[in-house]
Amino acid sequence: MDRSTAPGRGLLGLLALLIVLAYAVPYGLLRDIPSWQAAFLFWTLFGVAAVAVIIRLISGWRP
Amino acid sequence: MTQGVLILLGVYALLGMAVAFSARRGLGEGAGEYYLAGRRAGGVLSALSYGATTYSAFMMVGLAGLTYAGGVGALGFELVYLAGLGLVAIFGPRFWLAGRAHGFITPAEMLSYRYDSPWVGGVMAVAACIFLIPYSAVQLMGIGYLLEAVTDGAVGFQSGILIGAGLALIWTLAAGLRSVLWTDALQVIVMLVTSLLAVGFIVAALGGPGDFLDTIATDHGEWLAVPGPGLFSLTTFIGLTLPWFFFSISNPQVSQRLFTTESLGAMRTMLAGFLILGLVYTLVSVVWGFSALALLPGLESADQATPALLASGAIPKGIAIVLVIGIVAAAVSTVDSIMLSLSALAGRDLYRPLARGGRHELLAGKLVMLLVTGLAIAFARLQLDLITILSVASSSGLLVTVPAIVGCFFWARGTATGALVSIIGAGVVVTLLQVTGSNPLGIPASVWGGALAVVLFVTASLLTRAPTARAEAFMQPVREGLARHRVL
Repeated sequence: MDRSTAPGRGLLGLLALLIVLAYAVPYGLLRDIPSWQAAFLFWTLFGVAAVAVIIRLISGWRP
Repeated sequence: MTQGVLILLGVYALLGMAVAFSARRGLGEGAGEYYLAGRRAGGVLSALSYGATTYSAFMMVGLAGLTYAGGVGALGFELVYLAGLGLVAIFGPRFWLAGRAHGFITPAEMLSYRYDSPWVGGVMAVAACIFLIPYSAVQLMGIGYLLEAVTDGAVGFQSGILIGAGLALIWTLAAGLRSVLWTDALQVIVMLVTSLLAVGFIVAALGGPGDFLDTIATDHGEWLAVPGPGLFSLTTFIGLTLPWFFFSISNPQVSQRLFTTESLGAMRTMLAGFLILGLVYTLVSVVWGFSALALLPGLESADQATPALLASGAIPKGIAIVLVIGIVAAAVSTVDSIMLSLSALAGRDLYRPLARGGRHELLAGKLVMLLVTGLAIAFARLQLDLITILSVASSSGLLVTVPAIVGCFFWARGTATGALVSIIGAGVVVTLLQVTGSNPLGIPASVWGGALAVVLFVTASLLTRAPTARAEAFMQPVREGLARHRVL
């Protein structure tokens, strides 16, 4: 694997994992919990994490 | 309220005109100048415009309505879309490098070159028109309904449509992408500021953030649960999110923007800026929907949540008026980008291959823009059910172009026949499923369409001869650029 792109592949893997969790956790672990601290909090944290991972992913570009 | 809306609408229109026509300064000659702003768009301006183009009246009306009807699933749906912007981190630099190396103006033109057949781009251009003209018509209908409701009919439904279409057309014709970029920047600021103000006032009217959270949790706890009151079953959630996840590469009005930035650094700013803007706007729209639920439970139609909230008196009239302008701006800024993109596709991918030498391409594109506007107005005035269905089907309909776009960069074995069969075959099937409202085996139409497009693309490509020399000529500068810029 090219050393310069290896961290990027890890971040892409992390983003893919986050996206799978965005379906699995609210519809699995947090199913039917009527609280702000359940799906709402999870999806908000998911959104922030996904944005952070994408920004980290593109910060390695050398324009 | 009527007078206030009319005055602010006038101010907004005049400001937009001033911005659009001042963008004409420095406008050069040719299609690249007109449709791509000379490939010199800055990062911040691109981020603002990308936000204005992506986020239509759907956010403060449709997404708020989805929250009102289905609860927290609406937040998950919109944030999965936002995570799909990770695709721009992969495809953005590839589009940009290919565009610079080969001079592409439209994504369809890129596919025509890569697959060595003008038919591929032509079919993609036709598909974009079939789905995006009704989508624009529905945006115009939204303006018509909203202005009619908040002005007590002083601005009728038909006049609202004409105002929206007129502004979008003038701001597009003024200087192409240059005027769209600058008016979009103005409009996204209006959208964000007005929605933040409105949500601030509505939450205050509910007794502050603490009381707002308590009211929802106590009186409407089911709306905080997944799957909630019924709208967001897992199947529906997958069916909605799948096409929207791929929106950033399937919809030409946004994927074309990947050709326009002045550098990869500017593209990085565009993406990062849009992500932050998107996160804020999504949360604001969802909180707005929950507020409508707390204040006005029991509305017959969830689409009425925003108009009813504006008319409820819960927020000061002045704030309601500026939010109306913000929603109009959201719709107009989406419609003008779609018009520009469809004009480029029609001129570049339909007219140019047919006309000898491609002369008068720009003129043909502008005439198509007038035609598209006329059709969108006509469709909006007719208020046909089919138009609404096609608009809803637009994200699923354009999803079928994704295998050909991915194959363009990642599968040298992909062929023109594969691309054509997948776009046409899966496109027809997904449209029929949407029009008839059928979900065979309980699986949503969008999932059928996406899966069928992949199968057709792979199968038909394997059965036909691949344009390997062309694929190599296409990819070589892209590969070199990716290594040079350290892009994954």
